Amino acid sequence: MEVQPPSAISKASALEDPDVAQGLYTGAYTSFRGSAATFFALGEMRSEIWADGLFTEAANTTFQPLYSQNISALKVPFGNWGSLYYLIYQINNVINIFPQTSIPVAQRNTELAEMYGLRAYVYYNLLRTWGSVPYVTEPLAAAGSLSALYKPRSSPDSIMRLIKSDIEQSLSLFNGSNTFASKRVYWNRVATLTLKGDVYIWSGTLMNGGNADLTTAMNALQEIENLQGATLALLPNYADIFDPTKKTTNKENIFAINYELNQAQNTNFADFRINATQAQTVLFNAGTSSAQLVSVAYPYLTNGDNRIGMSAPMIAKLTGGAADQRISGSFKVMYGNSTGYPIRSVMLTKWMGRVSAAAQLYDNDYPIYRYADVLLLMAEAKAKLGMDPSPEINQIRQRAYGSGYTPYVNGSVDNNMQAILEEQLREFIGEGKRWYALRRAGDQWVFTYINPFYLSPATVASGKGPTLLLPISATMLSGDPTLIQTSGY
Amino acid sequence: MRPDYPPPIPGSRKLFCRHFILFFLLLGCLCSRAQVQNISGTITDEDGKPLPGASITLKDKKAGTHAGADGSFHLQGLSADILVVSYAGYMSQSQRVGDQVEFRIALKPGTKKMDEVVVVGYGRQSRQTLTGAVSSVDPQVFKSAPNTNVGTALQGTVTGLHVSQTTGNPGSSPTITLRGGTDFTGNGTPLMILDGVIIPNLYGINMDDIERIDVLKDAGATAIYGARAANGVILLTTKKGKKGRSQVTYSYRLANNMIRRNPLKMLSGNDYLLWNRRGIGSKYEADMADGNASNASGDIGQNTSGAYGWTVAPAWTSPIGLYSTQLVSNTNRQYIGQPGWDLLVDKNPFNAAQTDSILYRDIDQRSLENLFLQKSTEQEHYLNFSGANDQGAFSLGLGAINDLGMVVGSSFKRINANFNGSLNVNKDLKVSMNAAGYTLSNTPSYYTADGSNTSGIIQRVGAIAPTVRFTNDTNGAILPGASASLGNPAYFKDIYQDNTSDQRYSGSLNLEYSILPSLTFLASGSGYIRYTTENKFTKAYYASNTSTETVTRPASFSNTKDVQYSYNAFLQYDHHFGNHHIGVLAGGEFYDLKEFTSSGSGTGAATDDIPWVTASSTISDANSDQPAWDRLASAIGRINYDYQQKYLLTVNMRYDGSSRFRINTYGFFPGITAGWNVHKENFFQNSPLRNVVSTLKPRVSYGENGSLTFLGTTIANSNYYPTSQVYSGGSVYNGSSSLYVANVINTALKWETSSTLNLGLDVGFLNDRLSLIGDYFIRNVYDKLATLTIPAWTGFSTYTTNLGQLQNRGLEMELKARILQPKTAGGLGWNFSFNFSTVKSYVIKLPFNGLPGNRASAGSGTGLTQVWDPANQGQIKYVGGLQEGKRLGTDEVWAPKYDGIYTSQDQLNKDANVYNSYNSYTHHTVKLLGDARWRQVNPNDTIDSRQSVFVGRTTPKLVGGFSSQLTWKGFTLYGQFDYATGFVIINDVRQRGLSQAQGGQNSSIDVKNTWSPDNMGGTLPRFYWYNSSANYITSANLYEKGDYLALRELTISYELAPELLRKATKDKIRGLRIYATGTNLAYFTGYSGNLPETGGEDVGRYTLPRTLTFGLNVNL
Repeated sequence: MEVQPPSAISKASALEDPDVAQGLYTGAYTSFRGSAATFFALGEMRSEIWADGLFTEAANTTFQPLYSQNISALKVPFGNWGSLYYLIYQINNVINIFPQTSIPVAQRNTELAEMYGLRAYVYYNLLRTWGSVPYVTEPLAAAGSLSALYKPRSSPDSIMRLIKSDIEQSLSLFNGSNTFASKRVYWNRVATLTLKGDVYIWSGTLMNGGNADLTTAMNALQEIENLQGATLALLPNYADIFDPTKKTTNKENIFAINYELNQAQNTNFADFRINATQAQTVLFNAGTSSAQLVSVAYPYLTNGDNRIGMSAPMIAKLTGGAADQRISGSFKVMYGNSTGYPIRSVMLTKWMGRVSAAAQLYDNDYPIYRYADVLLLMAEAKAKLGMDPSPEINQIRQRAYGSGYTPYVNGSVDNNMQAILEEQLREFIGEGKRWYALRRAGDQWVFTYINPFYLSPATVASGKGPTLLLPISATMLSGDPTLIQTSGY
Repeated sequence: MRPDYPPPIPGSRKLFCRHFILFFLLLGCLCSRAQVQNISGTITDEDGKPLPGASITLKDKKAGTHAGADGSFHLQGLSADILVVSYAGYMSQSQRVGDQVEFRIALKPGTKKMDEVVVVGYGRQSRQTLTGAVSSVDPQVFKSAPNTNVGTALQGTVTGLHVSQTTGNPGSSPTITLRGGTDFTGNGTPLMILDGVIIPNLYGINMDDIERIDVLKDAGATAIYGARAANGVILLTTKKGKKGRSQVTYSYRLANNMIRRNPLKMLSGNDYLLWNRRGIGSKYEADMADGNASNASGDIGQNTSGAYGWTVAPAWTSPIGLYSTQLVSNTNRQYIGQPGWDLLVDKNPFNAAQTDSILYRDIDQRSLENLFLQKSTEQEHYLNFSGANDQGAFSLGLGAINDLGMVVGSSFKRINANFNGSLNVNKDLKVSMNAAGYTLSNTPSYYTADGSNTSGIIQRVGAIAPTVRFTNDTNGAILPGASASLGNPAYFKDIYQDNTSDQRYSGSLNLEYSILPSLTFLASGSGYIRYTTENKFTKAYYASNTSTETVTRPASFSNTKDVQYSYNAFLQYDHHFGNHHIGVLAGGEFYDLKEFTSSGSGTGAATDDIPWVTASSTISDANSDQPAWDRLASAIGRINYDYQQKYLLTVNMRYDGSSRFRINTYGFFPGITAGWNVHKENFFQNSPLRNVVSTLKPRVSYGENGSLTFLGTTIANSNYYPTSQVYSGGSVYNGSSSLYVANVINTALKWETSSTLNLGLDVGFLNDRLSLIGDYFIRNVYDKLATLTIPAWTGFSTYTTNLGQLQNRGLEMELKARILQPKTAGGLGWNFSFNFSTVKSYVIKLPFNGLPGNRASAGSGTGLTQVWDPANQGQIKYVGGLQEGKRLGTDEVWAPKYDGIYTSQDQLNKDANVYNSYNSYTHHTVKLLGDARWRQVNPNDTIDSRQSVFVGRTTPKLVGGFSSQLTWKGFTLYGQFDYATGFVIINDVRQRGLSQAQGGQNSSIDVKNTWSPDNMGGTLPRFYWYNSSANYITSANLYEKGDYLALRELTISYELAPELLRKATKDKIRGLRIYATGTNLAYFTGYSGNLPETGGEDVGRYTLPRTLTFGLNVNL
């Protein structure tokens, strides 16, 4: 009577066959890539970059409530914890199975170190978005009774302890090795150190970690700065960071999500582009000698829509002033093709990929951390410790504006923070970092940059939301009576 | 394998016969005698079975006799005499004696009666002794109408089945649900068995091969099919040879598919421009009121350079611009007054002082529809050879169909052969076999006809801007338009190639060995193999008017092979002990199904001429798999008992084991049914009631079934190996292949069981001229296999488990009346039948989760909703989804509702603080004159999903059908109707037009009735570009009643008198029937769309064409 699933592989075979186990390890990266859009949205879409933007079609209904902070117990973005526990399951499964496999110890340790790094990163996203979340470090073997599956949210402190412990576990398993793969698409020790810097600034600023945590952060980041050189540095040409043809010579990336032809393409930014029909009526560089129809500039544009954009003041802020290669390397303004050339919207060109075989191929790798992160995190740690962040700020400015850049001179803590946040804004458009950067800077910076009509200390105190964290959905609450709503909703 | 129970002769009818005989005997006495000759022969039924006791008389004479036990008779008469043969329940037949001395007369059965024989699963049974709820399909429904899918024959003809067609794509199977379905989603497709072989669906079966269709409905009857029969069993029996002269039958149908147009009228070019300009003007006004200057300037930008059919973007002045809308200038002034060009002079939407003169080309709705809808034809040929004698029987059917669909590109072809042969090796051993082969070929419309609400040509192209430019202004060349889903059908119809072919072979061998007169050994083995291949190719093409050529030329294939075997063996005992009759069937069955798949794709072919992957320069994907392996082992038993055919008892049992369960592999499914033929009791026979009531049979049955339908809906690992943790292959990462865990398993899964209590009553009046079959049932589904939402921390959103209890309760009734019955062949006859069924489903028990009613969602889209409770002000209640003790909520529709519109400033001022969470403004309190005044169930000044009201259900309350058949001489007029009432439906074409969901699509003429400063008498809420004020979100106001009555079939046929025909053709042609049939002629409905059969969201469906068929049957 019994049949064996003929084409599927079971846990038993993963324990016997190291190739199967290795497939699960790769599977964790595939799942991580599958959550890239979520990481991006959680990290950027509540920021000011895309608020009140102009776009040529109907709004993207996933993102609009985020940037307009239209969030309440009834309007819950990212129900089911953004499905990030699915990714955690895959990582936990590898962590659970690997020690029992026959994979050579050195390789096994490195790969486990990567898994701990990835898990810490995922939990860091959960912590920053919801505060307290369920604490899960083992894969669920089988589901039986429903009530056995209830699990309350753990306090932010315990989640933070898990993150920090995973970071230490990762560092210990990497055993001091800072080597990178030829394409930097696997987690590595430098990534763990960057994460450590990021996490400790957060806990230092927002979770009563104080100067001790900030110092830990600075030390971790210093260890990376010491590596600056042949394998790790800012690339002089900003656009090269994202250039799909220059992946193997990219020494700025620390860890990026990989996209390749016939494997997976980076389609997460379709709504930041434009559809082929609309492209026929809008221009780049309107009114200049280099004016060009968007449909001519991108003849193979497919699967694009224009449902997210920037507001006119934001466009003016970013495109005004000295020529900044980060802006031209991130987006282009689209103008109407009629008298006055009104601004219609922007197109995020950072993830446009390239033309290959008469088709648009979206194969830019998507960085989670790159060396510019290290510099700006270091600047932030220094600023908060009352030290001078100008060396790092100026490295960033020099690359952005060229040798004629305006050097930054050390100022008050607030001045320093503001200068860092201004560089941060320009440096990481479309990389899923802005909202988290404002949060990490401190609550007052969130209220400085976000339209107070949408988000203010008053709305946070209202009890109806929005707050700086996200609520959980009615479905989640009714599916598990031990869950309680995020405070403030 | 199928024991034939001889149809018993009921006592009442015997009495009737005697009168008849006496009458003719008296007549016979009046005759004189001259040149007497000896006449002899046999009287049989159509199957060649003798009819002992049949009366044979000479017309206008007293002489007459009765057929003997073997049907034979001897008589003396003159050559000028006319023989009149009659037998109760059969049509009488007359024949001139002539020179003939030996007659073989086969009587045709009279209009159908309750004493028919029905197929009950592993056997047949007379309806007289039947105690379960079994419906048989009136064979009239598969006689004339085109037959691309057998499922359509069940529509409105079987009580208890809800059959709805969701698409007019040729060959498509309708959705079939028995008695409300056993799933929380309200689904439940019956098990389908064709000549004993389980088949996955009714797609591709040739209706001309079908002798009869029986539907087992209650668990008392379906328990014999045990584990998979919870949703009933549809038994299809193909034609077998019949004793008598060998026959050749040929039939031909020519069906004309007429275009069924969208009854929803769309705006003309002039109105389209006018109203969209008002729409953007309204949005501008609202954006200004919102204090959002940036958006307001964006609105102006839209008008001058947005890429929509109503904008005056400079790109549209090009002779190949996507749309033709343009401001009049010196370069285009010459078009004014030219044929094909129109002029609109309208005030500027943002500046009333400015007047815009707009030039445009206009395509009307009918011309647009003509681009993708076509009048088409279907042709069917069917040839059957059959015959039988004492040594055996055979029937060979050959069929061919070629159907072109109503939407351009869609087609269906089928060639099939079906052979049934049996050989009586000796008096104890009978061997029979079936061999069938089908080849089918199916192409969809050139682009998805009705995919979803954001794709599908019916909705998208059907509502394309009327100002679209499909031809070059200067040279008239055909242009592609904007994209396949929004482009020119005349261009795109040839770009995509997609063909699915299906080859099926099935065969079975049956053995029947009579060990003792009352003990028979039955065995059968069958195999079913199905290959499905889909080949796709896209030619090089221009994606839009101005784009560069796309030359990727993707090609792909996908193959599926199903191999299914089943074997069974039974011992059958059948014996009469005095007044007792007992039948026992016992045996076992084994079933094994494997599925194999392979697929591949590539791009970069150099030419359009090789539409195969082989020409691709890059192979991007290749895959092979065995996604399914399913086994079922069963022990089966049945006991029939009756006493004088008065007291009836049937017990069915089945013990099933499934390979899908690990721990709880086996399940036992018993069924017991009992009936009482009250009309056979002496006390009844002696009562005056018997003059009116001819049949009275109360029935009761109780049985249990298992079900795996929940698991087996699609071929996937999680369905076939739900208790084994398996890893799935993920996408490639940096060149390495990956594995992942796709679902969490539940090793404790067990059979879902359903028990049905069925109370039935068969009543016949006036010698069964009027018969009624009624059934009331309560079906409880225990240990319901379902997907349950689990906390997200597990990594998964759902798991499969046995949860709770569902109950269906319903009533079904069928009525058949022979209003007029022909006394002789050719007399006037009128038959009428009517049926209805109604069912409600309740959630009885759910797993404990600590919440009131243990409420839970039942998967996506069918979840719980929070609404304000109108009965308890300020309280929230949960609706929809699953809640203990309540009706199944998964088909409930809850939506906000508006009570009119704001027509005065006072009304606006009063509601100034009302916060509308649906609109897209920064200040959600922004509202203008003409906006919808949303109902506040809880008057708290906030409009959100909690203010929703109950709109209705998407499944009908009542479904059924009726038919009428008039016969006279050789003429038959047959009409068949079906209906469904009590459900709601929303027309997406209408809603998306009113909400301008695409920014530039056309809208229905409803827009002309919207309020606007220029149309202050409008009663519908204001029309905004992109629905910015959210007046046209999915609301109660936009839902419509789906109630319909369909005139499914109307047939007029003429059958030539056999005697005349034989004479005229020297016995070469024995039967000829010609007919004309109209199918899907009309829906009587108030619904605004064109296919009301399925409730809920109508995305713009590929509707059923009206079909006019001319047909011919010849019998040689």
